[in-house]
Amino acid sequence: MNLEKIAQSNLIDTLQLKDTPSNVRQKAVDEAVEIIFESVADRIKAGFSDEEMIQYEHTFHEGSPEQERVEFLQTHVPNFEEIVAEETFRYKYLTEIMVTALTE
Amino acid sequence: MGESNPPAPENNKKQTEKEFWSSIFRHFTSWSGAEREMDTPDTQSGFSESARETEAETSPTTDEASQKEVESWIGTLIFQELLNNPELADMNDMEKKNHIKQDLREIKHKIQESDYDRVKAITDKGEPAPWRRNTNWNEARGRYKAAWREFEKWAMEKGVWNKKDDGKEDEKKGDEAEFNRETEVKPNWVIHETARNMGLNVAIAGIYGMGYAMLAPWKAFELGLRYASQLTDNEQYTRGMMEKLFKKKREKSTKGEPKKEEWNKAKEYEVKQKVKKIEMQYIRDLKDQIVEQKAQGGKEPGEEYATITEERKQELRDGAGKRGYENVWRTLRVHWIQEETWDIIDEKEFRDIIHNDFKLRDLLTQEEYSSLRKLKKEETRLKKEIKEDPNHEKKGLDGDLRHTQEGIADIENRKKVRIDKMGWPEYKRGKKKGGAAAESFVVTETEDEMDENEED
Repeated sequence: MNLEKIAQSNLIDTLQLKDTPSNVRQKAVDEAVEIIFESVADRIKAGFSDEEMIQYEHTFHEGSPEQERVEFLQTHVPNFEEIVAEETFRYKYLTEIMVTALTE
Repeated sequence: MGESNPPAPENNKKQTEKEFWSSIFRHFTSWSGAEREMDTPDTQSGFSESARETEAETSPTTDEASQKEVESWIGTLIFQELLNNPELADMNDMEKKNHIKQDLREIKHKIQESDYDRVKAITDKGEPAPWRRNTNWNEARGRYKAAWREFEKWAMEKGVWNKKDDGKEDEKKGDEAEFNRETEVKPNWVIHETARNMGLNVAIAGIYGMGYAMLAPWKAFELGLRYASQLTDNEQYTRGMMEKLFKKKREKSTKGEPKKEEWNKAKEYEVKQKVKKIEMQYIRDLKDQIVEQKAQGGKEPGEEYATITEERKQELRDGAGKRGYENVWRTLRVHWIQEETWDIIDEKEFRDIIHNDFKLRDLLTQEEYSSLRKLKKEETRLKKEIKEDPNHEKKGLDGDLRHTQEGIADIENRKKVRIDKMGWPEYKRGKKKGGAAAESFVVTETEDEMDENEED
């Protein structure tokens, strides 16, 4: 499996949804994004120190301002974009495996 | 309206179940516990929708007791409800313990589900589900954990709580570890929501293949390899793949070759994996051929393979054997060419693969294969006997062993000759001329012709 190719691949092509209605394609992207961000959230939390966890509990609660949360993440997760890129790749890689297995 | 029929037993069961879960989840929406009068909630939605109606009456009692005390109290109530589940009536303590664990997991699942519901409710720009206003997610989690602690107390009293599995020192096993795992309910939704907003463009660009450009190419590659090793079950296969990819990279750099032994091992395993895959295809092809030959043999349509005689099965197997081998070999070569591993395989590696990975019966007739197995067993037996018996020479065991080994060598040689005729020379020719020539290699000799040539 060519990993570079996967990194550059278009998920819609991998899932063979190119010729489907736009709402179907949108749904596929929406679902992918949801799954990717579950993983991103997991990773972010796993990377917190004890102190950061306390700060996180303090910052992230019902009704807390969005801006505060964003600033917290920007401060404590400087490699945030990299994490998102990695989890996106991971999702595409898993999808590739699945599609290959199904079409072999 | 017709006659009213008594509810079917299945309906009764469902009703009881619904009531059971209603009582459990009531505690997650109530501050004063079981004393509150509430409508029976819909357990399909997990938490009580009718809490909306009681919202006006809700008043946290945090000034009466600390939150922890409230959690602990409600946790006790929840656990008692679980213990009073009618399904547990006829169970022993161990069975009850296992059942309650399942129930607790169900609760956790609902908490996490509701978590997601909350996200959706907010992101859809709608009002949060009404009962949510009454329930703080963190508090629900606290009550759930408290229920687990009550459960742990009960199970310890009953002597069914295993701190460690079988007394092993590994602290990560047993009920205690499970407690830690199951009570780790992650409130991801808040990060999820925020992170999603922050990183949405990055993810979407990545999905369409544009995210790749945001990372330095080699870094993305490395990240991909790291994930590949995490994601695949077969670490060795991945290692083989990684070695192959790293080798390509190193060829372009001046950092030197990977360790030859490690590389070969990884490569060999990778090839073996491919061979295995091809063998599975061979088996499938073989079955198809058997079916086809059945049809040609004039068998009744739909005849089960099991009804064919052993003799006929062997006939088909023998007939398909060589063709099957050809198919495998041809496919393997093409595979190697496509994977650009053709020039990495040296003769020893080639022979090792052919000898070790292809089933013997692909290269020998069934009779030869059976003989070989018998001879090898005999060889083992004789060697053992010679070792143990000081009189082995007088008894002629050494001669017997020699004779047996000659028989083995004879059959092994037939295999070798067939490989030589079918594989290596053509491979070498192909290598000289390039991949295309190797690709045109086709086995044309029948086994009989091979035997004739052998004699020549």
